[in-house]
Amino acid sequence: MTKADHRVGPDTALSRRTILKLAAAGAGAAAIGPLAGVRTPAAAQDAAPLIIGRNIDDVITLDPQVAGEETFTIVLRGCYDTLITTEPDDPGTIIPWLAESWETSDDALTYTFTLKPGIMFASGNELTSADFKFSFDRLRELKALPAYLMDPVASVEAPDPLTLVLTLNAPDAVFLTALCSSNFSAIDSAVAKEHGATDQPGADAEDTAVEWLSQNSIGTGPYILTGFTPKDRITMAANPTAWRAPAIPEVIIQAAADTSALKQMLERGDVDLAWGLLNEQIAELRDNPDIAVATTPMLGFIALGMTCDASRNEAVANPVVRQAIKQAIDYDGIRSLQEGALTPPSLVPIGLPGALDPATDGFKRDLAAVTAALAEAGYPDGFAATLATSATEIIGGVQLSLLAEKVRADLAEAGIDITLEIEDEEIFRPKYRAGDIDLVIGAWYVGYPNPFDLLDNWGPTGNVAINRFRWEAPDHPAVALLTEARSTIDATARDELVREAQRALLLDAPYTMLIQPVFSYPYRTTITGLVANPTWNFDPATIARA
Amino acid sequence: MALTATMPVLMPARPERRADPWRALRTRPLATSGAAILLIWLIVILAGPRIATHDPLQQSLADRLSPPSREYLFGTDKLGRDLFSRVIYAARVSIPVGVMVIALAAAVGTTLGALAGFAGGAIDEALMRVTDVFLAFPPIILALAIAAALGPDLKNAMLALVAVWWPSYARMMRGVTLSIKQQEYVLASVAMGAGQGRILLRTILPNAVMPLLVLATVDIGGGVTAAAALSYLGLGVQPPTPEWGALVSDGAEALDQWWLATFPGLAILTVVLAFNLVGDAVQDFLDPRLRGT
Repeated sequence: MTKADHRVGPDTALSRRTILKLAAAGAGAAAIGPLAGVRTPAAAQDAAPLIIGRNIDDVITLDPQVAGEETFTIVLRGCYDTLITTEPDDPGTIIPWLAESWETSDDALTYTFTLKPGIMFASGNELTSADFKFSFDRLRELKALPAYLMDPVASVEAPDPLTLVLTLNAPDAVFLTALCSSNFSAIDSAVAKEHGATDQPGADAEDTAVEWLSQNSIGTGPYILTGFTPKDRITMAANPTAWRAPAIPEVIIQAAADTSALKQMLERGDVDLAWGLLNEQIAELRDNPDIAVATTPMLGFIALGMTCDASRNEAVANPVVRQAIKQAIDYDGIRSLQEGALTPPSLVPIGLPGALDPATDGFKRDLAAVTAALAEAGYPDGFAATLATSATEIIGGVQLSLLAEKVRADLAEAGIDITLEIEDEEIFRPKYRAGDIDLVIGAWYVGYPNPFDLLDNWGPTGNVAINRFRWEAPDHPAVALLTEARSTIDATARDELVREAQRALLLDAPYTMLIQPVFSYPYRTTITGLVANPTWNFDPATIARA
Repeated sequence: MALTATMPVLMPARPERRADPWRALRTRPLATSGAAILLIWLIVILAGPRIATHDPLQQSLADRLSPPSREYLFGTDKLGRDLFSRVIYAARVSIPVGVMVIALAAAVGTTLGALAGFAGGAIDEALMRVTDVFLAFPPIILALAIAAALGPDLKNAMLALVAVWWPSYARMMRGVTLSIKQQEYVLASVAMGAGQGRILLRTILPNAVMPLLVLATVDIGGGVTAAAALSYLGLGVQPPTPEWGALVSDGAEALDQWWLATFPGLAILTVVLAFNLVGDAVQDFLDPRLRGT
């Protein structure tokens, strides 16, 4: 589809749909008339699409029950809705979204949600609790990366079209926040089934809709997905039946050749906002009067992961060596790469409840201790290992490949000989997921603003710890502490348990946190309404032309 | 000798052509400056560690992205490493890699080309169809594909470049062999009972050296650029080893820090220019008919 084709299609369709929507809304529609609808400021001034510059190499699928990594966050935020969400500028406050209200049973096991009436999917079907049940069951049965989110849930019931009942396996203080994760979005079950989706056991083999859902969306959100060309662009157009209308009816997420091209596109005005620029480039943009920068602290980290698999690298798999590596890193130097960056001592990022204090619990570089530990472990002359990372990934302005060079130099001073494997996403990502690494630099940030998103995935029983770092420690003391914390309703006691678990993990866990950067979104001042958010980055529907 | 009129480079070298090459160089100021630049780079390669002012891998985060100064002649990169020292050390990778790629491609291509031309028949057909296949692809795209498939590594990048470069040598060598094979003095040595190996090595190869040398000297600049291009795209030398293409790539992400891409870029420019000037002179010297073209 050419650019010209693309622009004609949705625009004409939109005018027609705007009319329909006004007519459907009814409120004084007769008086305004359909023609007036076409000429509303929304149609005239905002006709230029919102263009977001962004490297979309990380997008594999846009199926809400499968999607992961980064870019999908804004697409899911635009095309789908969850039951509840958090205040855009205050991740600590949960607000109703597609659910009007909810109740928790006294034993904290049953959550009953009442849906807002009259919510429509883009297909014209009305949203019912059965759609949520289908979506949640499909999330579990597809067994994709986000399927772990369903682990606490025993059953999903839809007793009537506007009531959804979720029953948990055990009381879970975290569950409500986790429900804000965009993977818990509702999809139109009727249309999904037409395209091969299923929520039955065995869906991971039988469901054939994932591909289709990468090109189309079937949600209740302000946009519908109109196209996805891998590595090039993602397009969205206003959803005519949406319950909240977007300010700008068309969105294009356009990839640039590299970050300097992306920066120039922003400076020239070819894109309205640039997501994924380097720290140094963002600093240069701060002097530009046409450009402003929205920021939010990253609720996550960039970490150095280490394998526990002795068949991969005997030295790294040695716990004493791993502790030595943690003490060989120049954390202060890494933090100096970005103004405002932090170094979380363990899994919980600073800013979320239960975080450790870097001043008291953080690792300090101590080369003498490293030398002693390496000698004790039987490697007095050091050892060799590989360090893999993505060539293109930039998290919060920090280039993972640059961090890899820094870590390599730090470890070289401790006598550890590192060979870098800086590779393209499509080579690096499968290797990382399969745990085919000695050392690795990877990042993670919350899909919902709660420390358990990180603890569940990276903790001793988590998918990252087991599959990527091959850590087998089901009896680690942190496991019991975290299980207890999950069912502890009192927040202060829970946070203390989380801290205790992290202290237990500090020396043992096969990773160390390198940096917690700041997320920055430079944008042209011709747009307003950009609210940076640490979980979904930003909501395209709230952005308007200034 | 009708053949030689249409195929000038194929003529056997005559003794008078072996006139003093130094004089030839002196009368060509451009070539002389090219040779001078190459001489300087040769010194840089040999004496690199003495010329460099810093350890090229030493990071100094406090001084990151400093502009050129007396302390850091070419400024520093994103991790505070001295760019001057990195450019110097990179020369020890980039230039030898370019030269080796061409040398290997010439060796492989010459051998196969001579074999094809000399043996003729099915062997010739098979080898030439293989070169057709390689020549049908745009060379840098093919090299990219091969390097990407083999994985990012200096050896793989060189292998990829040799793989796309040898066919042009094979083609040339086959043509030379075919024409020399028909020369009367070759026929004469066949008549005198010389073995095939002797004819190939003693009669044909020496006469092919000159066109080979011309092609190779002109190509070396291209070899250096192509190796840098692969590294620029992340498929060649892996960090932290400095290499010109990789250094330019680092700098391309930070255009406001102009020094990052400029100095390694200038290094590539001077070397390629010098090789081309010298290559042209060699070509003129060995084949006066092409002078001025």
